[in-house]
Amino acid sequence: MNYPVWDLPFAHGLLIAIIATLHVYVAHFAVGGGLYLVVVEHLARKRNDEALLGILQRHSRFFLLLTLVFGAMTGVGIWFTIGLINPAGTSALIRAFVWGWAIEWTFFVTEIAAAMVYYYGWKRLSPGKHLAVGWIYFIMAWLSMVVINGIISFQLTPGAWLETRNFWDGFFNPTYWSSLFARTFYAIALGGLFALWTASRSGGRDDRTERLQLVRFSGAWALIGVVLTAVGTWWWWNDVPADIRALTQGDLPITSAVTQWTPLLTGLLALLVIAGPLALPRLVNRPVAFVILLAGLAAMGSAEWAREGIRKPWVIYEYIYSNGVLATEVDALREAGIVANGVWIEPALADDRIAHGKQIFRAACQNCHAETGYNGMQSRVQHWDEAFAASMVALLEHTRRRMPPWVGTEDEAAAVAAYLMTLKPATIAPLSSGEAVFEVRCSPCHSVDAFRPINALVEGLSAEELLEYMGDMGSDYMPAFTGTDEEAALLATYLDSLDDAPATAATPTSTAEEGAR
Amino acid sequence: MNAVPLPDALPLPGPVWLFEFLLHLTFVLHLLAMNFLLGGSIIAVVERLRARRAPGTSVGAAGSAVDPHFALARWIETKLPVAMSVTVTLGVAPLLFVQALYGHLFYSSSVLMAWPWLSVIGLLLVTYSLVYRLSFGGDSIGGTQKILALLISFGLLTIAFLYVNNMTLSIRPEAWATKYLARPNGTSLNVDDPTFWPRLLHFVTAALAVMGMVLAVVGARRAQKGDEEGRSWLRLGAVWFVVPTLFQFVSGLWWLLRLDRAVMMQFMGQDMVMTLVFMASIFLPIFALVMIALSIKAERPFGLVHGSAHLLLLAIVGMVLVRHGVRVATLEPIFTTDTLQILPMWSVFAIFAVLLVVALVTTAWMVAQIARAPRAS
Repeated sequence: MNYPVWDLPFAHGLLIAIIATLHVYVAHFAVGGGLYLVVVEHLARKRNDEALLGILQRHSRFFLLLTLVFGAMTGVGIWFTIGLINPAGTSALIRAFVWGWAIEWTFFVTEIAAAMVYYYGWKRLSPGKHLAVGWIYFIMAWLSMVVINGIISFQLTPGAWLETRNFWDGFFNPTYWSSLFARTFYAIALGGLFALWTASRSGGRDDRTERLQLVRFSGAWALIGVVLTAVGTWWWWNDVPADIRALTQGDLPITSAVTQWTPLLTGLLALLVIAGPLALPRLVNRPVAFVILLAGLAAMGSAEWAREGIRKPWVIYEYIYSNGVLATEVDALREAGIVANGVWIEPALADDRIAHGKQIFRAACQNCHAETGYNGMQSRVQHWDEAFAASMVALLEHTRRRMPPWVGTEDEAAAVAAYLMTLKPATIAPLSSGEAVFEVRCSPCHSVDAFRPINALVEGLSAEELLEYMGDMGSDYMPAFTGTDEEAALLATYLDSLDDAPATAATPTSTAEEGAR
Repeated sequence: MNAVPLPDALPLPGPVWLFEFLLHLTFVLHLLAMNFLLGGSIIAVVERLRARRAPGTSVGAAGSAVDPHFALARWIETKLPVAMSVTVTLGVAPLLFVQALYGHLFYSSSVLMAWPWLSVIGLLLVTYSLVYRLSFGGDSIGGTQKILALLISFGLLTIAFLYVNNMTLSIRPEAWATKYLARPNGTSLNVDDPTFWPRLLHFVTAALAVMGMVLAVVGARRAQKGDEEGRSWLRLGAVWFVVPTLFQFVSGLWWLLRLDRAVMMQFMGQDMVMTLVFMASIFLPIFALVMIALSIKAERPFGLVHGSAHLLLLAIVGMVLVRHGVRVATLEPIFTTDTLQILPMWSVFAIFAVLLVVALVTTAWMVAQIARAPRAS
């Protein structure tokens, strides 16, 4: 409520996902690629292998351009982007860790300088000094990760910081070490994977053997990295509190799916590395190397997505919500509502209910939700009516999909509902099955047999009784059914069918329809 | 809509003066690199356009009779990749410290101009790639290279334009509500701010002047060693320093007059410290101009040019403080850093201080190694 919310035609998350995924991939390469360069340079110098040194020099140019231009600029890009899409969260991360960021900057400065001196120094520095600069590069790049890892893992598991507000409690948080382990080996794996790109380039006849050797070496390097990354990720997953992990059992459908892909994609990556560079290095040309790199991106992307997904609905767990509301200010905000507390709300718009609802939606919801598309509201509300929408908004935090608490008044929820109704498509096919009605009306808060299981709630009730119950469910948390009579009938029948009791198993649809009338 | 956000609820982990000091220190360093980059890229374009192919020589080959304009352009262009890296790297620190102190204002103005602000990243990526391309393959006088050089200057000028937009918008909360209501989609700019154009002009011409001084210093050093080309670099550098600096008295006055009266009066005697800093920053460049003019005819010009460069550096520090004074005075009615809650974390700061020294020493050692090493053929 403290910051303006950027009115984007798509979900804010998409923007950060694109920039962050690409940056994080290259940024990990910037760490592991440094180790790869310096270790292989050691080997080449020891064996006096001029051909290999030539390949390495070429690789370092690719490395320099990719990490310094793309890596460094997109890194600044993430910072710009998070400041735009979540100013409150960004501000908190800056304030809590400003000295940490400053420390990271000292490593960054040295890292950049070392990368340049290393690249420009191939012919100008003695081998010993060149290697020393290479080691400085790697150490600084890794230390930079050591710092950022503390801040990223803090977001999910801030641990004792929530009570103490102590820098070190937040930094060395419960998932710090496992996360650092996984990221370190992931970075190392990428050092090998990206080397395949350079090594796959068909050189002259004379470097053929060196090239194949290097492909195989890079493959082995990458495989060790991938296996240890998997170990680290498993360790990290076990460090994540169980109640957070449980979210991937279906309550967050996309996050659940992505979480399941992560081990599969990691396995696929390992298989590709074994089948390509290790077993058939001759076949590793540019397209093959590219496919392997894509597999690496997919494995990492899914893991990072899962990590971000399970943090829902927080930016910093139990401190600040995705929409910039602090956990500690919820009660105070609620008392006066969003309009009274909103720095960027125009009270004069209150006369225009839709425009007013839209600006409240923007202030409270648009940090994550768009009108259409990914995380869009249109598909969610298309079968809703206004009264139901108002209930859903007001009951936000009690829903199954992990939403932040609603901090507005009932009137404000109603205004948002009125605005949401304008998003409904002009023509909507009616719901044709009880299961579909269940999805729309009940699944926001219940699953059939797991989360607040509905089958237990309806056990023993006939379709007629269910219909009667749906008119007034006798609880502030259960809005009355406000759909059409047809939908009510379909739902009653469906709910009834969840109950295996013989008395209701045979209830025909017509009975339910009659009951509804 | 009151459109004035509150500072972050978390306390500042160190005293305000320490953050201010680090902000100004790193900002001055960033400015120096930025001036080399922006001023250098513009001067390189002009010198490239002035260059004619030297007859019968392969342009750019070492020791050949290359057109001095072209040689100068190449000297700059081959240094731009490093300059760009240094500019971005040194820009990260002041951007961090400014967010620690003024984050609530900076994020708000950024969101108001979200698309243009985010486009900085795209511009950086494209410009940086072009900088490398020109550096690695610009040894020809041909048309493609001229276009590349022009595009680089254009990209950097656009980034400067966007930065000045955000920095001025962040201290102009009174304009926010109207802008946000009219364009919540993040496409506002701040060009309607009366101080915007003079400020941008002042900063861009400063970049030219500083780069002129760099060329004069390099030229004077070479001239002192008896290199005749050094003389011509000194003259060229002196012109690039003198003309933009004279122009800056005009753009500076324009900027001053466009400031709110209450803000302007701070520098006109109301705040004595600020007034003195401001006056010094005006007079130091005058002395620098005189010294540079004298150096052109001098037998041993290096001392004069070197002294002039030091005066200029002092003037830059002074002007950074004046810029800060403008921010403080403009924001005074709605926010002062005195209101921030402070909870120092000295242990972490101490680690930062030690690591900063380690970083400086390590970087200096590496740069010395490559600077001392013979150039590759």
